[in-house]
Amino acid sequence: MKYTRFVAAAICGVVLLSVSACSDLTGVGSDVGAPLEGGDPESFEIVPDSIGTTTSPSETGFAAPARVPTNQRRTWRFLAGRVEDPLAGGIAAEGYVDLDSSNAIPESIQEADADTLEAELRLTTTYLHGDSTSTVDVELFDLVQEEEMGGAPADTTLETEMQAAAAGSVSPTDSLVTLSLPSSWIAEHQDVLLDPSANLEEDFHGLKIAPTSGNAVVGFNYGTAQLRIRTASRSDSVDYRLEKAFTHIEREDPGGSYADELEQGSQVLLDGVGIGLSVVWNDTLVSTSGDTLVASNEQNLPLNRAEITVPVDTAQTQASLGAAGVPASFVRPLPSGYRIQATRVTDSPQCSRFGLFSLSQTAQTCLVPTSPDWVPYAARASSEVAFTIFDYALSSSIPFSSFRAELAERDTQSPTEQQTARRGLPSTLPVVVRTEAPTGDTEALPRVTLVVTPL
Amino acid sequence: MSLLSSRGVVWSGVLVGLLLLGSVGPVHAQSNGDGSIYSRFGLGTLQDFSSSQGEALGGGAYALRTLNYNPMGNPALWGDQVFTRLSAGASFHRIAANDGEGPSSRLSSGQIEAFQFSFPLYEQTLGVGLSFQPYSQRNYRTRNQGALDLRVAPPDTTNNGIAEVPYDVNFRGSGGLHSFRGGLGYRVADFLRVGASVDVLYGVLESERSTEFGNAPIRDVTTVDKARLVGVGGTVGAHLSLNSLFQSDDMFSVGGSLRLPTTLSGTRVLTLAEGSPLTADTLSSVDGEVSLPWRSRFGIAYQPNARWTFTADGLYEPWSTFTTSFRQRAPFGRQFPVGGEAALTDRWRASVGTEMVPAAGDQLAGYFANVAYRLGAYTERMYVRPDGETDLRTYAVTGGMSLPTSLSGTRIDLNLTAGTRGTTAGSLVKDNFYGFSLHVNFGERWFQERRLR
Repeated sequence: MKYTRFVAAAICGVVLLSVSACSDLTGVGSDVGAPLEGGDPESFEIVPDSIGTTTSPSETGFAAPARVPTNQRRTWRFLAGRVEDPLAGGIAAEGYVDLDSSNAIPESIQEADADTLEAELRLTTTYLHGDSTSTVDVELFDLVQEEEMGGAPADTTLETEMQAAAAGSVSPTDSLVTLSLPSSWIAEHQDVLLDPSANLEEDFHGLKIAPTSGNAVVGFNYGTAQLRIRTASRSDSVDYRLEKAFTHIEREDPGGSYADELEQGSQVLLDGVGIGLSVVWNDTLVSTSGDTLVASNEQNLPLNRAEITVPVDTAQTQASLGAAGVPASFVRPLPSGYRIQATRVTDSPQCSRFGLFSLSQTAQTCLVPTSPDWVPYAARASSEVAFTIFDYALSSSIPFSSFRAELAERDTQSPTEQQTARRGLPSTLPVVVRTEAPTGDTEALPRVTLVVTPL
Repeated sequence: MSLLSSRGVVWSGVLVGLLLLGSVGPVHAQSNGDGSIYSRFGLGTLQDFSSSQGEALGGGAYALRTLNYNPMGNPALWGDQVFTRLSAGASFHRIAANDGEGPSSRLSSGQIEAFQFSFPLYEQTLGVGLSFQPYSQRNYRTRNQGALDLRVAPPDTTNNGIAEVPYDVNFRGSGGLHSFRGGLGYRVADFLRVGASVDVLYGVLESERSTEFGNAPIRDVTTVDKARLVGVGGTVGAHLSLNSLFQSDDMFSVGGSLRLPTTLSGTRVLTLAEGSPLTADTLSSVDGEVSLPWRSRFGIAYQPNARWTFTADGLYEPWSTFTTSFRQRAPFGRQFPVGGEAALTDRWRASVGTEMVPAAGDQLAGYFANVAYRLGAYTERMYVRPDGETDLRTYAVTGGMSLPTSLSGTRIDLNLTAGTRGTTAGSLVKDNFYGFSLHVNFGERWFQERRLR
């Protein structure tokens, strides 16, 4: 009984307050007197002030050391072959590999005569662009000097011996490709390859796999590629894994057979060679007036949502496979990823201010995480960072002078945000994008979609 | 140790007060929940609480002398005090708002009606009164609903990826002005009393608009237009009572008070908050002033005997003289107060009430014979005129019971009110409302020297 009065009083107070939270709300009252504050949310589609293609060769070089996560070693690839693509025309890819040391060379091999040994490159195919029934003939060349391959752009040229060391052929549909090297090549490199004390990383410079004929570019897995040397009896062998690899990609013959059939205002983006789409929004996105966004630095604009979308015309991209002269066995997958780079305006905040990643080579370039859900239909910036960028733009000015969208092949369907900002795997894939909308359909154009609630 | 024992009553009052204060934030220090859309205009819904007795008698009783209450409406009455008095009260209101077309909004709110503390410096000669109570309350709530067509997924062969994303724009008013008063009442003669108080008005009037998209991956945006105001004013009052005027032992009283014009100064701030959790960013801040008009109260009371009491009261405030230096300025995009000065008009209020105590002062009568039964009614022309043309009126009946306790100066009051406010003409809204309130009025001879009689 001692606490009865407290309980009773507490109940009285709590009841008076708690029952006050029982409102059943409708829109009654919204029309009373002066209009309620602000406006309803509105959506605006803003196309770029300029759209064009720029070429920046993809980084196709890879070195095993710690400059990249080790899991990339398992999924990285290098390419070799030549393809006549209906969208992009002739594309050639030359693969370069350099070997890592092996500390398990059997004595029987160390002491063997080169004539009694066999050598072969063993490659696992992971990529195909071209005619799957075509046989790709290749030649192997020795590099004349040690080269820095890691991070090298695809237009880098590495010097090789004039004379091919070997020749072989690749069937694109084979999961394992072997390219044999002759005894003379083994003899030439025996002192380096078969001597455990030799400095293989410096004294063996590497091999180039160059196509001579065929209509396909084939990709080989970096992590499983190896040079195997074994005795003729196959009783003993030694495997050398890769230390680094690089793919040189070149567009030999711009303009494929379908290029003339593309709709007006279409552009071809090409991976490897590095043709990307550059878009620029001028600093005119500051406030609303009526149903359009107009320039003004005097008014804040609450932003609910922002999306940066660069649509890919997958319909035209796929339709090109039906062009005249393209065999039915021609294989060209749609891209598995895109990457967006943003170039900072001088004195604008650092990339991290917007949740972007920095490109180490230049602090002016930021990498924009993209949404994997939209692949292959569009390169779409992550909603969070798009919001941050345009929230800043609406209250101050656009912090980036341009955005560049490019293809970036991924090794997983669900990359993390950080992974979507990384460079892609080497590829030669093209896609079609729209830079003009003759019918006024801005949905096909690169655009920013803003949802704002006027104050 | 019943609830109505002396200590129980004290603790009940204190606890109810602490609960009410502690369970609401500083901005909403005296209210919680949703109320009339008309609180969006002007400085909110004006509050007129004087005492729980007066509330049940139609909201007036500015001339009624009583030992059990300390009416704040007229400081002249504070000179009559015998007990040190602590009063606290809270109320609950329910509103059904309709515009004559769609379904009604049903809104509930709870609020503190007042904290009052008073004591005699010289018994029945000079008394002190202190009070903390709402001056106005802003607690409207309404919303607009709509939908946007947005591309939320990539197009494929079966779906263009465009979805209709619904949104709610919620408009909510909160806060209000509070009044902290302190003053003296003095009995000049047996028939004449005068009083005065210093009134500090302060508070925050908030208008919030929140655009919400539910579970859609779109950021909610909330803008808050907040005016912080503070100012000091004063009230003077007088009271005249005549005994045995119409019959023996009757009492006729006339009283009134005048709250002087008050200037409040302050700052108006617009903030914007986005995302979750919402973090507010100040977009603009301007300083300004508002000038409140004077408020006059006048009442008469007649007590023919100890059983019956009759009151009639009036109130007038010329809100047409209201001025403000807060001007519409980007990015506020709207006037302060909403609708500007054109949305305000002179306010008047008239009320009547009666009280009956069956025991008529016989302490030996039964418990319910010593309960005071009250009934009242009032009509009011509101000081806001949202469309600039239509006067809004309130009509209400009031009632209540005052329950005696084992302490002679202490009572617990339960009051009821029901009425209607506004009209559905034009684009206006009619509120049908009811409410009840609980008050603890504790009186004891604290701080007073006990004398052997």
